[in-house]
Parts: sequence; structure tokens; C-alpha cells
Amino acid sequence: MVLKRWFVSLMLLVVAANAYAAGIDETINNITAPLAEVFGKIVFFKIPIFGAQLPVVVLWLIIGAVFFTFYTGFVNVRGFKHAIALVRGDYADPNDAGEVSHFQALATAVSGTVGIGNIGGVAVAVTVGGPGATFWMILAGFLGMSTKFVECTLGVKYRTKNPDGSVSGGPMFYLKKGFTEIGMPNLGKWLGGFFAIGIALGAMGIGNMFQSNQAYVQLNYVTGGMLDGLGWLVGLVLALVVFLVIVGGIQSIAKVTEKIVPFMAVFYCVFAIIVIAMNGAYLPEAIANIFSGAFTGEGIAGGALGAMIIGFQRAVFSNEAGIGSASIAHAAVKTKQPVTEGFVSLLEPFIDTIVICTITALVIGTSQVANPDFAGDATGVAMTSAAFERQISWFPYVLAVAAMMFAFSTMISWSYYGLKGWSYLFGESNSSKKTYNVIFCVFVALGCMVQLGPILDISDAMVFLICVPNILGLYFLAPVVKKELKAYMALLDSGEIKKYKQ
Amino acid sequence: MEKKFLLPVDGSEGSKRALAFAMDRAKANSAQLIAIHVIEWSPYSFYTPDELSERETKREGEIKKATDQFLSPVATECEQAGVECIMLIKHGNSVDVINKTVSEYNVLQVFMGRRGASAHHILFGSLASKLVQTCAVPVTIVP
Repeated sequence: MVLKRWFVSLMLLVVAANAYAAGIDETINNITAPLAEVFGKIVFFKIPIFGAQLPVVVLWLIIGAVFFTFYTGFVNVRGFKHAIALVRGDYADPNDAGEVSHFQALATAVSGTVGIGNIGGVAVAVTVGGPGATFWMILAGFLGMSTKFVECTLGVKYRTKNPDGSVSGGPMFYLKKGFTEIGMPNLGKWLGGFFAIGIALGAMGIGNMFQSNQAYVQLNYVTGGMLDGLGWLVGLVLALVVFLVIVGGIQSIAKVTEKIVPFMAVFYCVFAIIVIAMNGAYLPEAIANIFSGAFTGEGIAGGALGAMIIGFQRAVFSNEAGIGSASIAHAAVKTKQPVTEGFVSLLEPFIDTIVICTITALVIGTSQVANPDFAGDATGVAMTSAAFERQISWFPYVLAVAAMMFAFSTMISWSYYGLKGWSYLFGESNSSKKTYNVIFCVFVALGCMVQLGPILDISDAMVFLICVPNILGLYFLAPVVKKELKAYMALLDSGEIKKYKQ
Repeated sequence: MEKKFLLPVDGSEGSKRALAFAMDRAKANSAQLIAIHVIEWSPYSFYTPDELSERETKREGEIKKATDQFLSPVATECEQAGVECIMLIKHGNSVDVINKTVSEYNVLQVFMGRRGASAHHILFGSLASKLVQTCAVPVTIVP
């Protein structure tokens, strides 16, 4: 019955949208753009340095990542090989078969982070920050691996079993429980609540509007502009599918996507490498541009620092290190050693940023060298698509499907992350969950109706809300992780934790 | 060393026939029977975040179901027939798990029922036919 009521209201929304017809996109954009601007200005404060605008959020995340990299003694380098061994199941106890495997936790978390950011976000970075932004993006990905290690270890360590038998975890839980352990229960409760609000709201931006917006842009691009002004329609269809999954409980759609996305990601990389190979003649110059651009920042607002900021920014929003989202997914894993999930999770920024984003950047970079004006004035996903189209004429269609899938799986993951924040605040009751999920669907539709610029502003601002309490908490809880890491390494060295597979 | 016979069970008619036959053989050879039920599972499948969070409980449920439906009846029958019997429930790929159990427990022989010849089994091979080809000890298929 409740479901029916929601459905009726959704249908009413469709009717209302129809009344406005094509004009609705513009109307909604006109309403949200100034709001986004004000919101962006308040939350997303920028410090001017040497002519560049440094957003505080980027500084906050990067300082955190650098700190955790040093504090864990470069766990992102030291732990890399061990992480792969864990994912391969070398250390998996056969008696634990049937529990969530390391591979499964990684695949789910990666499906959540590999989204439009990897295709469209990179294009934004290269457009605004020049080829040099790629260099900083890779560096940010590398540093982000340490942040992920810390947050995912904590996510598993402080996981909570719900009365219905499901497991919840993530920043709100480690902030609350971890701070209680170190004797600051009030601060922990406050930070946990702060994070929960942040992620419930933030899910609407980075994991929702940005995704549906870019999926629509690509769809419109491949249909030759046939969907101009019809963003509301695409938005409603997308919202309806998301609605069916997260409110209607039709898990099969999500399951199918979840299974296709990893293959899609591999498929995307393979074709990207083919395009790079076809552009082979321009590859050396494209790579040279990445390095020279990183340090000279020629023609970029704010010079090298400007390129750095853009690179960092897009990397952080793509791999989500420091945002705490992956920590929620990893918390599902039952393990005697929480550190193992930390190890596994450090592969996520590697796959997401160092591999996939770099490949996209090279596709765009080599195309730019070949023809600086290859994309016209297209940005975001459309620009990446144009770069593929130069060599493989039909690829934009595949990309449209891939973009849809990536966007969809990211939205499903984020609806879950957001919901966990929401239910932390309002309890696990079904009606409260449903309320959140319906709001989430409305934002999916909204995402297709507004311009990319304001959406990015809102997304970025909301992410800031999430990572303030999370990173702050990570500083306090880092000693806990270090202790766990030390103990685990000792067991590993002494041979007490042994390989089951040779 | 005690003789051990392995009996994969799935509650089917074939598996019941195999049980009757295996109990006979076990009695005649004064061997111990190991009844095993394998729940098909792969560490490399993909889950949604929701499924991840419910996995631990689901697993417990699967094990309970397998115990109640497949293994408990076997245990009762063995007890009545006076055959010594141990029960195993494992997650994984059936062929792999059975082969591993054979070497782990030093099993002498495997007994299992034949399933009906469905199109799927003729095309892709049934568990029994795969086991016959890969198992390190004799496999007796009970028709």
C-alpha cells in the first residue's frame, strides 16, 4: 500500500513535469543555479594562493592523505603486494567459505567508485587544469590509498550487527565507538552524527545528481541532441528504475548491473588502450604534456598550482578516499583481522584513479595532441566520447551504455551509503528508510534537469560536509589502526597467519 | 586406520538411494560414513552493498537449512542402521570441495546418486560425471 502511494506521487510528478514540457529543464535550472552558487560559496570556501583558488576541502583531504601515508610508513607501497594476495584468496581460511570474500568486498566498493567521474570527471580536469592535472590526479590517487587503508580498517573493526542480522559499519560507527574507546564519547557521538548527516545529504550530489546528469549528457550526445530539453524525461525514467530497485525492492536489476559493471570497466579500459595505441604517434607528446603541464601549468588559471588543485579535486571525487563511503561497504566483511580489509581497500584508489582515470586522461591527451580542437566546446563525458569517436566511430554508443551502467551502479551504491547515514540518525525502521529512498529518487530526476556547473558545485560542497568529520576522526583513531597493523604484520612475519593456497 | 566412505547428499531421490547403498557397504566393511552437503558458492561472484551486509546472516541460514533438510535425516537413518557417520556442510564449488574432502579425510571411496538425465546435464555434464573424471579415489554412481 505504501509503495502504491509513493508510486502515485511519482506519477503525479510525471504529469506535472509534462505540463511544463521542455521548459521545465530551464525552470529548474534557473531555480537551482543561484542556490547552488550560494551553497557552494558558503561550504566550499576557497583560499587564494599565488593567484590560484585553493578549496579548503581539497587541502583538507590532501593533508590527511599525506599524513596517513607517512604515519602508516607508506602502507600504500608496502602493502600493495599483500593486498593482491588477499584478494586472490591466498590467505582465505577454507572454513570461512560462504562469508563475504575480500574479492567481493573490493568488487562492490569499486563498482560504487567507478562512476562517471572516471569518464567525465577526467575530461573536466583536463579542460580546466590542462594535461598537467593528470599528474596531480595520479599523485592524489597514490596518497588516497593510505586514507582508504585507515578508514576501511576502522570500518571493519567497529562494525555493528543489527537486530535483523544485517551488518552496518562505516564512519558513523567508528567515530562513535572508537572515540568512546579513547575516552571521548561525546565528541565521537557528535562527529558520528555530523558524518551521518553529511553522507545522507552528500549522497544526493556526488553519488546521485552528478551521475544522472552526466549519463543524460552522454545519452543526448549519441542521439545527436534528440533529447535536448528532455532531461526531465530521462531523469524520470532513471529515477523510476532506481525507485524500482531501492523502494520497490526489485534487487534483480541491481544484481544484473552489479555483475555487468566490472566487465564494463574492463571493456572500457581495453578499448581506451586500443584508442591510445591508435593514437600512438602522439603518445610521447601527450605524456610529456602531463609532466610539463604539472609543473609549469601553462595557460591554466593559477599556473601549476591551479593544475594541481584541479587534479587533486577530481581524483578525490572519483576515488572517494577520505569520504568514508567505501568503509561502509567493507564493513560487511567478517574477519578476525580488520587490517586485511584495509589492505584490500587500498587497491580501490589504485584501480579507480591510477589505472582508469589515467587511461581516460591519455585517450583525451593523445587526441588533443593530434587535434587540439577535437571536441569543439564539449566538456565532461561528451569530450571523452568525442576522443573515442575520433578513432572508433561507434564507440560513443557503447560509452552511453557504459555511462548509464556506471551511473546506475554508483547511484545504487550511494543510495545505500546515504541510507546508512540516514538510518543511523532516524533508526532502521522501514518507513524512515522508504522516505529517504524516495527523496533520493527525486534527486536522480533533478540531476538530469540542471547544468553540470552548479551540480559540480553542489557535489563538491556536500563532499566537504562528509570529509570534515571523517578525516578529523581518522587523525584521532590513526593510532588504533597503527596498533592493528603492527600486530598483524608481526603475526604475518612469524608465520602465524599463513597462506592456505600456495 | 578406520575406513572412510564419502557420500555427497542433496535430499534428492538419487541421493537417498545412494545413502541406502552406502550404508550397506559401510556396514559390510565396518567403515565410517562421511555425509557432505556442498552449497554452491564462489568467492568471485558480485554482490550489491545490500547483499554484502546480509551475507553473514544468509550463510548461517543456508547452513541451518542444509542441516535440517539434508543432513539430519541422513544422521537419523545411519543411527538406526548402526552406521557410524559424520556430517559436513561446506560452501564452494561441489567438485572442488568433494575432491578436497577426499584427500583431507583419506576417503577410500565415494558413493553418489545419479540425477535424471536432463538436457542441461547432457550438455554440461553432471556433478557425478565431473567427479568421475577428477576424483582421486573410486566413485560409485548409484542409479
